[in-house]
Amino acid sequence: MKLSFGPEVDQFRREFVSWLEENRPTDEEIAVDPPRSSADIPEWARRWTRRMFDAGWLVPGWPPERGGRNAGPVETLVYLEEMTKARVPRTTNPQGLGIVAPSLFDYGDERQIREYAMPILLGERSACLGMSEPGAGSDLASLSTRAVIDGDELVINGQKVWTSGANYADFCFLFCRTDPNAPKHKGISVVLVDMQREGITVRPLAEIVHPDRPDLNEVFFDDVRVPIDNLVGEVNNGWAMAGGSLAHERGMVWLSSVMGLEENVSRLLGEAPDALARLSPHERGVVVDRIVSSYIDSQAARCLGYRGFAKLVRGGSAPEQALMKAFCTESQRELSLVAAELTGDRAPDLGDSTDRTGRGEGSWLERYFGSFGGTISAGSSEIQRNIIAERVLGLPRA
Amino acid sequence: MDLEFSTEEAELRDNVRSVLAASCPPSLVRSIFEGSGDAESLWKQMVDLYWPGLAIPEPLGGLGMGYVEVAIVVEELGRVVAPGPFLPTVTQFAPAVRSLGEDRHHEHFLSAVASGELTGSLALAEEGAWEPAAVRTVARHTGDAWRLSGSKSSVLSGAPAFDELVVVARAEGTHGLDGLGAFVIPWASVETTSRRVIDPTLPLVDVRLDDVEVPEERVLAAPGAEHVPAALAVVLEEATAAVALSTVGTCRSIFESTLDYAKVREQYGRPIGSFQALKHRFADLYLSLERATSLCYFAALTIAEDDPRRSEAVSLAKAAVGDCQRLMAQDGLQLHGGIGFTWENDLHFLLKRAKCGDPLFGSAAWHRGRLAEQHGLLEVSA
Amino acid sequence: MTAQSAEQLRHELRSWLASSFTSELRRALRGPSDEAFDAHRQWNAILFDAGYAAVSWPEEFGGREAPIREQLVCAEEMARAGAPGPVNAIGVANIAPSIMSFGTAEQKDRFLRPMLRGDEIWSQGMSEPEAGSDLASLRCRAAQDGDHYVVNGQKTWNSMGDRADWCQLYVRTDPDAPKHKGISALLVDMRTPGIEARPIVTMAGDTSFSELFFTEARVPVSSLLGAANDGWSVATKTLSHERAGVATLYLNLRKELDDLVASASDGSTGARPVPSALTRDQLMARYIDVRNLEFLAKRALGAMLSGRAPGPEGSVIKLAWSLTAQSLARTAADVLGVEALDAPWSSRLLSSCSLTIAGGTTEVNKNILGERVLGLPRESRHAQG
Repeated sequence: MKLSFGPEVDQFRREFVSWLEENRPTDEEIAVDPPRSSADIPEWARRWTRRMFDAGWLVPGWPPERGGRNAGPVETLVYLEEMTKARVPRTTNPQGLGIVAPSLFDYGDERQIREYAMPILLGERSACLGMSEPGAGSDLASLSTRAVIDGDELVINGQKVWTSGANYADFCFLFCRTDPNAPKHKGISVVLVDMQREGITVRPLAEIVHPDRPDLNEVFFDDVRVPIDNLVGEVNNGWAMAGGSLAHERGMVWLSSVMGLEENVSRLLGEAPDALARLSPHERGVVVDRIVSSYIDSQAARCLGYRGFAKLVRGGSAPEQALMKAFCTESQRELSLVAAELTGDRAPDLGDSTDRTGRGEGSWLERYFGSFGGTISAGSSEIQRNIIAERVLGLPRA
Repeated sequence: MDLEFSTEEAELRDNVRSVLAASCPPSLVRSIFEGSGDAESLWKQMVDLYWPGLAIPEPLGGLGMGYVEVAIVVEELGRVVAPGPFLPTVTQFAPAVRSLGEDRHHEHFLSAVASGELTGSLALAEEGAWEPAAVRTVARHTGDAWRLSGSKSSVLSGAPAFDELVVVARAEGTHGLDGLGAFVIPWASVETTSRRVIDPTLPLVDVRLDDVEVPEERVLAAPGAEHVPAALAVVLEEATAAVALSTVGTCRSIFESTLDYAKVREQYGRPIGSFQALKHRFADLYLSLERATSLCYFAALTIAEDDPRRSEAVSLAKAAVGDCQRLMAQDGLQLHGGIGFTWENDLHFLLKRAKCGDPLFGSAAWHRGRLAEQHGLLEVSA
Repeated sequence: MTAQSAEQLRHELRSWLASSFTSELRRALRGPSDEAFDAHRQWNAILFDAGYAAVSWPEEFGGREAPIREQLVCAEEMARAGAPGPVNAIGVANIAPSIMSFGTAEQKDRFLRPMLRGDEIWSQGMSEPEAGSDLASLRCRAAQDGDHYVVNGQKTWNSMGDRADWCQLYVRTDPDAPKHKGISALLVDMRTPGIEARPIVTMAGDTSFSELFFTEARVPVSSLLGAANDGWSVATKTLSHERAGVATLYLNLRKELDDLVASASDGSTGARPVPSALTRDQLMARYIDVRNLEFLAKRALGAMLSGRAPGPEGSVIKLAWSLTAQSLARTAADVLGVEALDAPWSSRLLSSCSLTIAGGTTEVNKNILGERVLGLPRESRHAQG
């Protein structure tokens, strides 16, 4: 156990930071053309992702031909720390780089990798994930979008919902049912579907904080025909890809949440003195306690994350990982609420969402509502607790 | 005490509820949130039904009912996130004129409220504090008139334009509860800044008074008049209780909607409400809701009967409602899962109303502080 | 019975208490000692002889058939004076009503008055090591042999088990029937050979609970309360005359809270910390909780007084009460600091831990609230994961 990773790692960090400073897009570039969804690749992002790929900084843990430099886990962690600090995303299509590309590398064939995965790494094509359906949220395995084999094509019918980026994506990494008679986990396949295909209708879904900038969508498939070659991996083996991610970064996905939490705590601590002055003495005592609790939680989140990471690096398993998602998203929610309450009668006011970089996040109350995206999606807090109870603590299933 | 509705009270509630079901459907609320609608036809409907005059004495053209009836109407309005000038006019402006003013003011202003001709609000809070002692807006007497200067925050609006505003100000050089007075001034004579808020059905404005001249006949209570502190306390009690009741109505709607959802939404082959963990959450939500509702109606009752416990009762209610909305808004959204997060679903109107109403007239923590003070605990601080 | 007569009763009881509930008695009743228990029995007899032990009961059994308003008045006056009720608390609240509802004339004549007066001590044999929340799965067996049952098994968490003269015992008389339908209730003489009581020492250091062991204990079939194999009805369908119990819950809690607020506003002493904003905030939150209990109780009582069917307040009250009582104990610890380690708070603190477990856990209460009041669907027995 030690507080720093050592001089070699420090050297690695310095090298990356200086490359980053020289090569990163400017705030002005980003402000002029901010991404309109999680599958929109503005011109600056296209160039930037390509630049990172060429320099081996896109996914450091991968080999150079995939935009990496065979870096180890500690170096990857350091890289992610610096990227998060710099507030520059490596891609404006996170699900493409983080989930679709690695799944294709693990399960796809050469053509699929060449036509779908590599263009993601080069910033040329973007992807959306076709997973949730109206009747299949937490219980994803019960999905029913159907793909029927018809000669050398698959015919797809059904509906997806909460599909991030479908309104801008080039293609969809679609989970569908290919065998309705098998047990539900064993009848699912993954198909690559170009979003321009006939029969696909995308309906953006406004959400409660920024209804005018939708990223979530419904996607309807009406007799959509796709070459059978676009089946990824083996038929009916799709469930294995449902947990797809950048394998060596799996122990670090918490990092951006933790740093986001810390940034918010910092902001809160900055705003607090003036805001506290407007409160009554009693309220002050109570609110201060809540602010401090949020601070403690953010520090605890960081420590938990690093502990889990350290266990993984040593080749063990890390129960902390199971806690991180629920803990970070709920801490974020509580923090936003405390901050909103701190502002007293100013809490209802909308924030200014148009700062120079186009990255304004709105008022604390808007952020509070937005934080539910974190506690609900990608495995709700309730499901996380089931997982913790059953898989980590070994409590029997119901 | 009998803390349940009488037959007449239950009938009133049922009537109000069915009127609002027809006149204030979710589509109206949505149109306000989306900037394409307004509250005019709803207000007109209320005027036609004599609602503005609910608690105004009959000789002045009102229905002469009491605060419990007001509470019932206000709770129903909160249930449907009703927009419009009812809340500020009936639970702030009218009580202010009634308590602070004299007969001539009652005849002039209250009868106009009863007939639906006049809407109004109350400008009391400054810098987020509703205690009268925190007022810094100054009233200077020059010749025959008064001149007001200062700033008021978070005045509840609710109509494209109000008619009148009660402003609380103090004589120069006074502090605490000394030297306070109240004036009725035309809305048009003050500079208002509309705040962009997350719930447009509760529009809040900040008000600037720049040497605004007020003629003698519009002085409700001259600064320093003896009755002012007690009268202001009464006004604050009614206004605070009304916000609490409105919010508890909103919370009840959130609860009912979430409970219904848990009964029909199926995952893993069964309704999600059949899972024990969720049952327990609902039990907790229910407890919190009943806690707040009981205290709200106790407060309404003590106000209606002018019981000496009214002052404490109002803080009990507001604090409990604050706790309730904190839990209800959170679990209401979380237990709806993804669909609660969409603009298309009506839930977020309720959530936003629950949160935006809460800071008005004091947070839960503020009211617990007030209770602590009343129980002699605040002098003992470090 | 009018409001006037209720106020008259209040007067009467208050002055009787002033003269009969002496400070000597009050002192003697403190703590968990044997002497205190004897003092309680003494007080119980005095209460009974004056007709105040259970005012809602029929006159023939020692009550005065008081309607709700008068029950409430008596509960208020007893709480005000800090005077305890009968020593057979569970007996009077649960066992006696079941005898009144299901017992024979002989059983009523034999048992009710001595129970109310405290001449005989009663315990209730329900929970077992393997049957807590899931009471219906109880195993204590009573096999019929001629005109006796032979009882074998074990009970636990029996209040006053080691002092009891009689026990209302729930046993399995038909192991082949569905579990709810094979249970009987027996009224058992604790002097029967084969019965052993072993006190349990709680973390509060007292022995108010015991385990009971039955080994080939022979109990006459005439000791059946209600019909054979109908014990579950006896347990669940017992109707009580007593209505003001909900009021008693909050009255005592209100007294505790008032004591605590008084302590807090006395300011800091050597041992007590200066109350922080948080402590004050918590204390006021408890105050709100207790006032809420008051209103929940009054809503329930109001409904009864007007002859309306009671709403769901009853289910809510027990749950709210247990949670509030427990939170109050924790808040007291914050307010009083080291002083909370002394009586009376020390034992309140420790025993408050049982409040959300005994007599129906919080979890079970929430299930009941969720299913019966809120209408949420029941969990199916063999759920798919």
